[in-house]
Amino acid sequence: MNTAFYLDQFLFAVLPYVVAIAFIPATVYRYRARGFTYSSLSSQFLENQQHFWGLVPFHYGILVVTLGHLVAFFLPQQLLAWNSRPLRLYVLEISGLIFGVLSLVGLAAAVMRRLTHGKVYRVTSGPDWVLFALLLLQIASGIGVAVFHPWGSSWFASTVTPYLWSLVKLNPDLTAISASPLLVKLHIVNAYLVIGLFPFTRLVHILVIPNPYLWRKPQVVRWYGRQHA
Amino acid sequence: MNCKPLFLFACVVLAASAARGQDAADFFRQNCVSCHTVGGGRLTGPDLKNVTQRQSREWLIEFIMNPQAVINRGDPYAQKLLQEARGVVMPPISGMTRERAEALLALLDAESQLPKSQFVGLQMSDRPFTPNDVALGRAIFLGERPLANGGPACLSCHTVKAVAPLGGGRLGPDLTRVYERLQGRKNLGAWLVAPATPVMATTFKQHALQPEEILPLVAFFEDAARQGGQDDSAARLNFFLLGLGGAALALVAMDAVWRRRFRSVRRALVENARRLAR
Amino acid sequence: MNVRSQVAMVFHLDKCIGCHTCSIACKNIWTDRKGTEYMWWNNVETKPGAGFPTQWENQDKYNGGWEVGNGKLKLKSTSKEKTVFNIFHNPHMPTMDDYYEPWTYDYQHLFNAPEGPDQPTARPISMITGELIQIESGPNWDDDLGGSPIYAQNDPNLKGLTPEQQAQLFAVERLVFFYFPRICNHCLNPACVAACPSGALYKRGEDGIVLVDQNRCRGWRACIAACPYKKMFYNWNTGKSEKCILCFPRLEAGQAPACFHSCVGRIRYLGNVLYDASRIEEVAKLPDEELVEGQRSLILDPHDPEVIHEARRNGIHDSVIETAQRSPVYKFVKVWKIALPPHIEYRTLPMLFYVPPMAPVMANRSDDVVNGVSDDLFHDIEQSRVPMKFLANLFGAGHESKVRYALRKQKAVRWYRRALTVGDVEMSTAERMLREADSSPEEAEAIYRLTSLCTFEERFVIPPMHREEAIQMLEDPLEHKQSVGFGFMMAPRRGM
Repeated sequence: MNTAFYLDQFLFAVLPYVVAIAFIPATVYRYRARGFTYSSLSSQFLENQQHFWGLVPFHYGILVVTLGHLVAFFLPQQLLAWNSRPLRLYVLEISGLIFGVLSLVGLAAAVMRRLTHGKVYRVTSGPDWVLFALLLLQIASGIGVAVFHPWGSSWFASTVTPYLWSLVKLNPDLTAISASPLLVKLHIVNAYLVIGLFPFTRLVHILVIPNPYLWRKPQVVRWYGRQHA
Repeated sequence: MNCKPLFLFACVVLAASAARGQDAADFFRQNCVSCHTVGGGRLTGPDLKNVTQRQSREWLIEFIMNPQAVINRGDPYAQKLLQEARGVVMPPISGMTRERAEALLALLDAESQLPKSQFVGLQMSDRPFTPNDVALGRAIFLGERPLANGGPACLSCHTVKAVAPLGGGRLGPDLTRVYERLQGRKNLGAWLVAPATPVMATTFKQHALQPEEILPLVAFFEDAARQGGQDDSAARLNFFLLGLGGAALALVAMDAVWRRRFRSVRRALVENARRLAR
Repeated sequence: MNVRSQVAMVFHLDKCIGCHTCSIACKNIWTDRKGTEYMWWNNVETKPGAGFPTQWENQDKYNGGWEVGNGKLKLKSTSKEKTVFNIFHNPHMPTMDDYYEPWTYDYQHLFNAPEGPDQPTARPISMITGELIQIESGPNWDDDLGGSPIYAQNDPNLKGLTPEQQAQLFAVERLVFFYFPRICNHCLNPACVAACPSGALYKRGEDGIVLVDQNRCRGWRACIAACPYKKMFYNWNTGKSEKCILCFPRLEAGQAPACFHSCVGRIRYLGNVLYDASRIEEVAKLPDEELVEGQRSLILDPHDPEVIHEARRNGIHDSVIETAQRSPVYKFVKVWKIALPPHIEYRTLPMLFYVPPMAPVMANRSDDVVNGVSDDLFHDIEQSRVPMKFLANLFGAGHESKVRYALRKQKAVRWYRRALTVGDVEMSTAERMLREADSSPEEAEAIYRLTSLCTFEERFVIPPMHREEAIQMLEDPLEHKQSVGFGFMMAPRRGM
């Protein structure tokens, strides 16, 4: 029991803070000192057919699934209210599973493309491979949780959300997490690893998504002789 | 980077393992009453009235802090308790310390002196369950009738066979036969007052069930145990297949939405010309 | 009126000999790095030909440039909404396969090959994978019609030509082609800038050069698809877009861009023009046939006192106004009207203009006898082996009048010079031709001088860039001493 207790303490009370402490300064440092490296590093130019079948399902899948997690984190009560009719719960869970499967299929296709296509293989770095492995594990374990431990959309809101908020409030409460099934624990720990590796991989492109485009004027003019751009 | 984050971090780790200041009575109410009463008779666990006269303080403290360890080393009294509880092992209590165990024993001594302890247990009506009770319990289980204190619906983590097309949750155990497992209405009702497993405890600490919710739920479980119900392992498979099918449809839709995407100009041109030449 | 200055260019196609010296000069300075091997910021195409990348002018496939819909100017490839949904996979972006896979040769093998009965060869290896490849295409694969019939016959500009005209164009004994050197047009209404989700692309206010801020480019690739001239390039190594920078470091030092400087045929002219920035959108929305004239109307007369006043009010330095007055581009485009924008129907308002080629037709031909003189003086222009419609597709948005005007004037200038120097043509005939071509002996002389006898200083009137007035110059250099230095000093390494 003691080993398990300390392991839980480490994985669910220590690791998240280590990850958070690594994440923020490393990301900021990389942006400020090596901003040039913030890029999508797209390989569409080298190959565009399999690219479509990998990147489009993956991104749409992972975006919707991530959004679902964020809703459960920020609006647990609203989520539970939505889930209070079994039909609505099922619609939400099936949609979540669909997008989860999409992201897994897309990522698998993208990884296969990088393995088999010579030119794309050349532009795949070590951190890329590590990231792909972690993401594959993350999505697969997520689908596993959805199928073997339903209904995550409800119990996430009532057990994981309080745990995550207890982390935010610097007062970790591991009771529920320690008793969770192994697959759920794996999903959480792996999520921490992905976040921890975030600043050291291509994932940083998430931080530079181009939202100002939606509001700016089409043409951009810069004057080097004027203060205003 | 200065040392501030590290300091904060150390504080956090300490706080995580340290016991939080809590009144013994509150602690008892949150962690123990699901299985124990003081003077209200046995539930899953024994009635704790005058427990300090039945065993030594030292033994009790040891057992409270780690029940499984005492059972494992073959202690005869612990074995007897286990038998009486029909094999249900007392779960480890999070945040338990020696000081807290001693405070609990002191509390039990004090409560045992009282003519009617505050922990005498839930006084659930003995009236027979009506079909209305069962229907209400079912609605509570499914979440159609929200819990008064805002707890999540049972369906989130538990299933009862044939309760809904795709079944209930699988984070917690299947509750089809929970009525039999916990030996009836009194025990099950007491359990529901303050559920003691770690996940249930965390979830319902802030959102306790109301007595008027417990009775219908027990009625529903009693009914479910009587009905038995079909094996619903197909529900999980169906759920998975729905996900796969939906994803396949989504892929088809993506292909359709971007059907005019750029493929190739030069290669298509050359291959077309070669085909014509042949 | 919102007067701005723009460094503009003219390429005189009659003088281009297709030697690719410009391309090599550019390549050796700017695009010899990893990831840029395939890029040709300057390239020379053979017309008719499919170009680089293949069929870049076919906007049905590439979806570059602007279109007008419901009275609004819209990018064909993207919009604010589409940017959100297409960011993961750009549905209009060409791949390296449509350019070519850059290669080198396994030269080491020539030295290291084991002794054997055969002479060792240096086989081509990909500059991306390092593996042996079969070369399928190159940057000027159809140079001098080398790729015919697959390439030349698929020139998008052949649209609208009759089958007879097309057959005539490719009849072996009459085969004709001309060269079409291309760099970034540094457009007034650049599609690449408008498409960039990150706002990394920008037009410099002072001189109109369009640049990519490498630190802000995130590799979303929208510019590649949006530029109808396919002069935006994706660096597959750094994950950033790159483009022709018009050698701005050279311009700022008063030197002509490398491709201009090295041009053997002296076909290139560079100078700034003053234009009215407030009317750009209005002009870009005009119907196809009015676009050439509309763009000309944007360019302002630098001698007009009101224009000068407005220019000064906008902070344009007197020295810049003075170079605009001497600009060869202003003369070619606005005064003589013999330089035309390429594919103005893309509505980016390119600021690189072309003098359309007469060549190689200087005489008409009947019964296999070449006649130097014809009674119908402009007859051979109409009967040119390069059909007028083809040139009109390139330089007149499909409308022939502007191209015809430019060719007639050029022809008249030649006849006038012939009458003057050789004397086998009546001067009165030559002068009649000039009149009919809307010209005069004085203008003909000026065109002749700037076309044939132009000095370096006449071809390149480089406006002073006045970087000494830039806000960076107000910063104290000592602040950066022992620090990281100015600007972007680190090697552009690919991200993790």
